[in-house]
Amino acid sequence: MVKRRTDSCRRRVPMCLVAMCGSLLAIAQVPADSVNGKPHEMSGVTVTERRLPVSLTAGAPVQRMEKAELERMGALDVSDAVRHFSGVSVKDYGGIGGMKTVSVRSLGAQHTAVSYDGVAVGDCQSGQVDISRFSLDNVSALTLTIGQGDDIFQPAKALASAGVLSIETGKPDFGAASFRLAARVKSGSFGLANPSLFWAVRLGGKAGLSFYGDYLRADGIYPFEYVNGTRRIKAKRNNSDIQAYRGEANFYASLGDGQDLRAKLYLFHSERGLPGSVIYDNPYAAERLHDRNYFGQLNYEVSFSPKWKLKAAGKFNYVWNRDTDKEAAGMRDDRFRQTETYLTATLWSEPLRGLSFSLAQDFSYNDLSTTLSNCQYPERYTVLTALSAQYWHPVFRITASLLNTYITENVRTGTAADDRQRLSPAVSLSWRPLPSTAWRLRASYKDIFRMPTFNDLYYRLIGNTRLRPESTRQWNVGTTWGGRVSPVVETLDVSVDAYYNKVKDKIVAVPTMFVWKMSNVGEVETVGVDVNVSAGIRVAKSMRFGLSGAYNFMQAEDVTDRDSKLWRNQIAYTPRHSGSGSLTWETPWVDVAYNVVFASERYRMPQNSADNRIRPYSDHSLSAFRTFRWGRHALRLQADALNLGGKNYEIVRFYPMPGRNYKFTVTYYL
Amino acid sequence: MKNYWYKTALAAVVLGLCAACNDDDEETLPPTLPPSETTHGCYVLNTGNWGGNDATIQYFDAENFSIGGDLFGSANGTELGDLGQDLCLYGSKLYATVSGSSKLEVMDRDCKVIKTISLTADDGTPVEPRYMTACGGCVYFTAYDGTVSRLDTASLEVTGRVAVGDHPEALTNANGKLYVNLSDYYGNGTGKSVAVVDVASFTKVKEIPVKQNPYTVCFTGDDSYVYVVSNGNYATPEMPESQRVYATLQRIDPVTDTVEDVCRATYAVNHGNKMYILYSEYYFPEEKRAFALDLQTGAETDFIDLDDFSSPNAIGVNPTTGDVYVADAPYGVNSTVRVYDAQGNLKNTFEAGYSTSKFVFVTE
Repeated sequence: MVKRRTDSCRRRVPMCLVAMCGSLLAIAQVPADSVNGKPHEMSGVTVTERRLPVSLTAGAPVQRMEKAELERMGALDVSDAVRHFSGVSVKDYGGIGGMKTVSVRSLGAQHTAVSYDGVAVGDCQSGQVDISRFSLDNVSALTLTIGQGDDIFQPAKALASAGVLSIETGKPDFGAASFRLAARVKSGSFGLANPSLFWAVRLGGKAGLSFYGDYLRADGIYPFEYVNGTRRIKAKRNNSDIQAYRGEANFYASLGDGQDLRAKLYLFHSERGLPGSVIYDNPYAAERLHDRNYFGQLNYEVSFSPKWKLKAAGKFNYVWNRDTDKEAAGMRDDRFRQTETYLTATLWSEPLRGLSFSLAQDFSYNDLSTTLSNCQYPERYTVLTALSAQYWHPVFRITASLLNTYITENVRTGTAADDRQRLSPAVSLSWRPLPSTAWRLRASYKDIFRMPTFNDLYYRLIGNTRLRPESTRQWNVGTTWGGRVSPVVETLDVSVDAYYNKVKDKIVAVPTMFVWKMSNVGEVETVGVDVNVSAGIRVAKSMRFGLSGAYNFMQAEDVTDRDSKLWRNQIAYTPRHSGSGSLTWETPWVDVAYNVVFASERYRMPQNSADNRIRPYSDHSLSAFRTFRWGRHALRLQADALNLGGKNYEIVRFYPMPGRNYKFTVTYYL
Repeated sequence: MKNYWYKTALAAVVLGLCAACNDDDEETLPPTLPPSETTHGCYVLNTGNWGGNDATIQYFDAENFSIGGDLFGSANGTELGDLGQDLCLYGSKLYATVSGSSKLEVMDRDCKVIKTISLTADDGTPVEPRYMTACGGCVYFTAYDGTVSRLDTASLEVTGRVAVGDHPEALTNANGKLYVNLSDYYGNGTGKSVAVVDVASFTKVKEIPVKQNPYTVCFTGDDSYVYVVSNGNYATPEMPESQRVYATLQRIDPVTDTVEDVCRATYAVNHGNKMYILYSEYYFPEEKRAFALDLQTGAETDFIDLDDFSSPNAIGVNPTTGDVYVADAPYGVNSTVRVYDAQGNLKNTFEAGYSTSKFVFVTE
């Protein structure tokens, strides 16, 4: 009877990179080096060798995609790009308006935090963030950190999850100009129209203001083919349209004396149809979802001296959803409202050369109110304190942190969950056994948990206030190498990581003596290997190939109960083999990129029976683009052909993906 | 040497990409037993997952203790659909309400489809049919548009529809009347009555107040009384006793329409004088029990051990042998059906489909 319907840290990586490649070049530069970077001291250094990407230098698996790479992928939103990261599975309900969530190394979407320009984007109700709502247009880099990252000058919240997807928007590079403008129009199959405008203006020498806005609409009515036994179904997705507005305003200022200030206002409105799963003999779908999200955030950073830095941020986030459906029993109209108030401050110091510490203190307040009957109006106060230390040496670097979490909750009616307190340690090590080479070994460990969400605790009937947090322990060992192989193979980067994860007290809805309840029942053991290879090959002065491939092996098995039918079954929606690849061909006339992602069979239910099997898939796409320049003007044209195979494969069972589709993008820069 | 090395690396990546492009073919359905070739047995309805299109009907040969694969799938070449809610054997035909697919399937005894009746309201919304009862040449079924419909089993046409109340669930017929559970779907205490429909005039005549949330159990006992289980309000220890509504079996006299409590129960099934009861309250786990109630003497005898179950989801009695079938539907796996004799001794166990919800026995 209960149907459950459920949904930046501007990382200081560039400086860090400069720092790291310094060490690659010559030991002589070491004194100037630190993990958090000292650009002033590095400014005199002429870097003749390529900067090694952070993915090769970090003590834990870190993957990063920059703007150029994101653009040539033909991806529309953040989720399309994130699929190419290794060790990641994106749960995609299909179509432009379909929900998309990201899970790292089979741990589940609720263990992956998403941060937008340095501040976490939370959802206290479901615990998972729909990343389809972030446009890629305005994004300058995506970084995925698994486990313990190297940057210790971070808010405590950045340490509070098993993986962090960090979305960074660009700070305009004015050069000699006083303003920047980018106007873009995207159009494509299934009624896609997506104009956007970016405008940035310099305010004096040390401040800037930028605005970004876009509008997106799509009918989303795409044809699909299905097989029901021996019958072939040809139909179209219906009620799959979307209309969305996004707007963002940013203000930056350097206040002098090493002080930096950034402010951001963000707005997102959307209305979309939810087509639901394909139901045999019943194509009806009328569920509509309205979303409104506003947030404002303020970041302040100050360097007191080369040895002392402080940063602080505050954010207020407001999320409103309305979910309606026309059902046989009448109109359903549910509304949800949540807010988050978040404050953080981090103090960093390097008392001795190479040895740094940080202390981060976060506070957040969340509340939820719904129009569902028996809504308990829960509110949560979270206090996070993180103490981190790092020691850097030309040959190795070690980072350790300890996070303390304290949570208390109130409800207006009924009983609130008990207060909780937990300590979560993490450590990572990166080692260069042969200082003359770029070969590194790394190892990391992290013990972290996710809190039960408000749905887990307080959802009508099914919620359970006695839940314990779902805990994860992650171990990773890996090796990386990057360098130049020959005059032709200009760059070759390789990383191989093996990992072991253990999830305990997994929170799942289970039937317990006639009643479905959220319970801590599961234990999952994951063993996996991630292999990433990328190479840049120059065949002529103006012709270059870029090649990259990622392969992941993931054995994520249920180890809850030896006598159960689920013992050692691969957990739902987790492919044993998956990966991605890309090939780019840069010529003076046009640049061409080919991308592929693939996954082996998965199961939609915990039991690995043939009935539950979802077939393997591969998704291929091809993009071609060219930029024309005259004077200060530039015009970029791009054409993308997506899902070339044309198959309506499924990521989520009974949610067919769109077949072959096309997209055209015209961008004008000034 | 260096050249060779990177060429090999390239080749490995390219090969890896190509190897991933192969798709497998569809699987074949497992073989199944034709019910017509057995002497007695039972149809097993597996509801499946919400949105999973995985409802199935199996046949259990009670003579040889063997279970077949999906009978519907092999007889028709297509799947039954989403959420098989109820199964009814009446005359020479089988009827299945498929709630998610919003249809009624009329089948012969080997599950071969005779007619598929798609069920939508006048405005096109699927009505989500729920439970059935049959009498006088008609099959009556509830639906989430708040109605009971009448299907003429000769013409296989829906010949009438009557509004009964919000979210009607299980129903039965007795003394020329239909008794329809009006559930407490929204959990706000408004669903607490049984609607009465006069069969001859096919009009709703009244509502009988019962305890909160009469849901999936409503049947006519061998003693001609109507038995209804109200699931209550999922009482918690924090609630004062006066606010708690425990899951309760009630009995309605179809002549006077008076209601009396029988005992606490979550599931109940009747065979002669015996009522087999499964009972549990989520927040009072120590109270869970399974027992057989003698309807004449009121004596209770312990039956099976509920600790053997994760979550019982269906109970049925084989009228020929008196064996009791109990389906256990644990999280994420296919159901296990345990077959007990009338004293509660385990005779047999078999695996069914996902979320087994009904046993329909075939007697010669």
